[in-house]
Amino acid sequence: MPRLSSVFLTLAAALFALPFVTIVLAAFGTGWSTGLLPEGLDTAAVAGVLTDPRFQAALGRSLAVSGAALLLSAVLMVPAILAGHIYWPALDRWLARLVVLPYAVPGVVLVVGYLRVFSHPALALNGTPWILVLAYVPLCFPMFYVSIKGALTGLPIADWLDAGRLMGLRDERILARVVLPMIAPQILLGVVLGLGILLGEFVYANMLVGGRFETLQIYMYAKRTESGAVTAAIILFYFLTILSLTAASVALSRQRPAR
Amino acid sequence: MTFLTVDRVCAEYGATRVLNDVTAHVAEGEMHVLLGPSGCGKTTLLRAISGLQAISGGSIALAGRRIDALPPADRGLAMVFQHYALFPNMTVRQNLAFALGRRGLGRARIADNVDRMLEVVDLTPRADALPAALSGGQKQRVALARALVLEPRLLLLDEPLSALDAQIRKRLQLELKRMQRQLGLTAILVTHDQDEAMRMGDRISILNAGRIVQSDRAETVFHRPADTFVARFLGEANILPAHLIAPGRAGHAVIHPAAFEIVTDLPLLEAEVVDTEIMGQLVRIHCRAGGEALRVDRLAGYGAERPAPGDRLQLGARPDAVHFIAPTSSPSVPDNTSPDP
Repeated sequence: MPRLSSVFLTLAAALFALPFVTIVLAAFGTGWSTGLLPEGLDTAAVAGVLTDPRFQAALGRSLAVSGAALLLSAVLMVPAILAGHIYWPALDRWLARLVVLPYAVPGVVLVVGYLRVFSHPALALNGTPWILVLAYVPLCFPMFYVSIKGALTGLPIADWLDAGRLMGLRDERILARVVLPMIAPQILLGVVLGLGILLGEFVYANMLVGGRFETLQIYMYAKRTESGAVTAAIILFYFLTILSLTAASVALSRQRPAR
Repeated sequence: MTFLTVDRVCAEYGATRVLNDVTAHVAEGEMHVLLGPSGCGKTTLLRAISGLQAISGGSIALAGRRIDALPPADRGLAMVFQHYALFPNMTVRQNLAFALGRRGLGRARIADNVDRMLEVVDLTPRADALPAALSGGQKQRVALARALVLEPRLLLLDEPLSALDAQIRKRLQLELKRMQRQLGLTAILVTHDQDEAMRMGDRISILNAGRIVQSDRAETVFHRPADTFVARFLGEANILPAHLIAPGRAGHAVIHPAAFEIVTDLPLLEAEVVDTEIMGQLVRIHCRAGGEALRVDRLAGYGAERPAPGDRLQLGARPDAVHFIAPTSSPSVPDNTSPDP
């Protein structure tokens, strides 16, 4: 039985590895049009993408928009989650329901809503990177909520606050000096997971800003017809980035807060 | 002399009243135990004294000064929590120093106070360890040190030993008691463990449903329970209809299992043996008398003969070992605040 399991596992691993291997071959292969394997290998397509100023600019834009959205999300969500968990359980219940909304409502519907809201003069942000930042903020909420809430559950925060009050220390001081350091790995986990999602996001970017603010995904879309090797090189880069972020998130999620 | 006076204190959680006109007196230098079943209000009373729980009526005075309107930090109290509430990202030394943060002491003074307190609890070698690296007993001592470094006039202990295993708990009970006596601390200990209460308390207040039903020396509470609730809660006393012991008398008679003697003449009761069980040094004989179940304890030597089921025993007891509770016995809260000698 264990032997049979290992056969199935190997087959499953091979099946999952196949797209990755194919992408690597496509990115580094030359003359791959007739045979099962490419005729030769070279790094021209990968080097070409990595040195392409347009790619670098798109990557920079993606990182900037994602970073701004994640920062804004963290600033909004961490205090809200803490407040809900510690002081207002009713708010906490609402948060748990609300954070899934960006995923429960189809992206296209949300985008149409955003375009209407942000077309009026006072909030006229359509076509600017800011609308993308604001649209990305709610997408990050579930990552923060799930990872931080998981860390908070089980921490004796009420006791810490009581101990602080008896020492004459304000709640803010206990939150800053004890609670935040204890949940820091989970906040970072929320950032890493959020970054993984935002770097791969296409629907919002395409519909809200499109070619006016070319992000990584828009660049990838624009390059799709140029050459198979170039597309494969972009996908390979993107895949390796997501793989690194996933590895980082796995490592962070193993860092349980000390009880 | 009364050091802490809790006078007719009431407290609610929402619509539920959890403290109902609670009155208690704690003498200076005494270890006062609040004992009761889960949900009886003992932790709420402790939190009300500390200021962490608002009260809706009554007053609390410490050393003659009302403290019930003061914020927790200004009451001159410190508390050891059930699960210690140590700050896990700080070392032992930092935990203690952090507690002194608001005192406006210089760094050197804080370091001196912390070092002195670490010596008292014998944790100097572990000063730079994080709480996660400490044993349960060491964590408990850090929590105690963190409370004592505040130099409180009253120390509140909220089931501080309940998270420890039985052997360590017994050792720390003695250690805590020794430290309390040595430092002359006035302390209130909350527990639901009757043995711990007996072992540590100079005086014990028994709570039931948000009220103190009896407050007295440990020995008195044990041997002279105010009502059948106290008698049932403390140990395994036999609570019998009084007429079984004294014909014509109403109410209940309380006799501890070890107080029974097997006699040959003038028995209080004649009982039939139902079963026996070995309880370490004791053998417990389960009997029935007058339709009531009885427990009788005897010293059990190795290989000692035990009565067999169906045997009949004539049971007697010294008159002072039998305590009668009147049928309408009201709870007694004597205002005797002098600590045990």
